[in-house]
Amino acid sequence: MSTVVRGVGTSAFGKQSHRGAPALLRDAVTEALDDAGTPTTGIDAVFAGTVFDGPGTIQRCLQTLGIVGVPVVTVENACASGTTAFHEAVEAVRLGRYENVLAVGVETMTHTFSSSIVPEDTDREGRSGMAMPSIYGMAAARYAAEFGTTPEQLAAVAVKNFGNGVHNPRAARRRGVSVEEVLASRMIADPLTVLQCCGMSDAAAAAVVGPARNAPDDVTVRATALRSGGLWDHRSTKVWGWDVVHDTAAAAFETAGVGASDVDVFEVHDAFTIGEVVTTEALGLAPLGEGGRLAAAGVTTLSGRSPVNPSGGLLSRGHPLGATGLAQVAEIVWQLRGLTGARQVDGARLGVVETMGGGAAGIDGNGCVVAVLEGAA
Amino acid sequence: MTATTSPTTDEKPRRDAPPEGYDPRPRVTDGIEPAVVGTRCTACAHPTLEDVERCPVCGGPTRPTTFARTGTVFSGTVLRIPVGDRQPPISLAYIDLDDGPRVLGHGQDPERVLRPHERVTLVGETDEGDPAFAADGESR
Ligand SMILES: [Zn+2]
Repeated sequence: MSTVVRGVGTSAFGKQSHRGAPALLRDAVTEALDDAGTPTTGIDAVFAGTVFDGPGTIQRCLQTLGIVGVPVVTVENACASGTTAFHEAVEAVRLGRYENVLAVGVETMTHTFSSSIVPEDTDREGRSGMAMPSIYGMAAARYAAEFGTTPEQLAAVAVKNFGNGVHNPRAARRRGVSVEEVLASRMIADPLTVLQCCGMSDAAAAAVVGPARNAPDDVTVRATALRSGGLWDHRSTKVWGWDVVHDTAAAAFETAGVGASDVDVFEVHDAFTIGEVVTTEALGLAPLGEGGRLAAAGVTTLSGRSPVNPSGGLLSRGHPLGATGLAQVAEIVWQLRGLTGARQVDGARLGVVETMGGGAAGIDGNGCVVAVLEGAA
Repeated sequence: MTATTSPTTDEKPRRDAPPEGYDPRPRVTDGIEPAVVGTRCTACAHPTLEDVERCPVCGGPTRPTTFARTGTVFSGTVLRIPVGDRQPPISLAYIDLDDGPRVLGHGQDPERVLRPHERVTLVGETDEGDPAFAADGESR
């Protein structure tokens, strides 16, 4: 029997530290449960993702909904924490452990950090000042040197995603930008400017997963794959993250029996513009080194051959780590149901979610999840 | 939390040293020809920054070593935002040491981006204790 997403929900995304994790999580879970037609007492188990929110956060939140007395497993997998929770929920249903599983993610970034993420000081590179923008700045600099990827090509990703985000009422930032504006904005990590970096954001997102039940709005999970990065060292010719996304996607596509060209809509991890360029290549939308052309040539726009990040992506939502992956899942579910209005990809039937997170020195990303979802015919 | 440095020494405490003293960064030898310390597998010759007992690639035994001071930039950037207590600009680069691993280094000149394929030499440590590199031709 196949596994389906029965319902999804999210809070609004944005700087809202006054609300706290319980209220954000209630917004997301209440919407997801209503969408699934599942009462709070019907949840058999919870898989949750958060990175920086404190010990006991998920149970502290869930009790306010009356979701108690069930197994609750909280996972940390950097930016892929929410999608890792989703993957584990799907696997639990697929293996017959539970029937109604809640996957949920939450992150109150502005409660934890005053500005940007402070890297982990027990990591050899984090201790040396390696912040996320510098990892991606180096990837962008390498792409410029190796493949001639231009600043304008990188900016085209931001123009596309912020343009889509205008139509997403839950996005933190809803203002279109021009290439010139992106390139003229403040430099963060050469060559990445501030309008190429996702912002801090607080939010929660959730999905209810279960066995197929002949409900027309349910979305089938064709595959999910999860893996950690391989060793990334002097032998690695590709930029950080390329291989783990490629290998995880290959595993998910093989299970689903589809290829990237069969997919109608993608939500991918665009924490930085270069991240979308690298990820879309690794997913198979362009040959190595040519991902910079995709947004600039219109391939990944809403009306393009392979629309990427119709929600506006992390650039528009901001990036509350635990919530991000499940917000991506929610967007794909809404897209496959045809509910997304001005940002709808016409006739979308097959969708892909990709999230990749990192921070541990020496490997090609802490973790990556790729999910292939299919709407009703 | 109180500082753990002895009041009887003049040694400047490292600004970002946590009280427990664990520092995960690669160690750099003292002297006029500093080198990054690590281990090398005696079976497959894989170099590792961490002081591992067994090779993470083949499982073979390792021995301690130092690596070449010279290397090639894989990529680099200049961070223009604060990172914790560190103030910008911060020049960071992945350096592929000639006989060794890829190591995260700081550019000696914090304003200068170390570009892919540039040749660099380890010049010691920054004030904060990070491996510091200068591009060949750059004054030291
Ligand atoms: Zn070995």
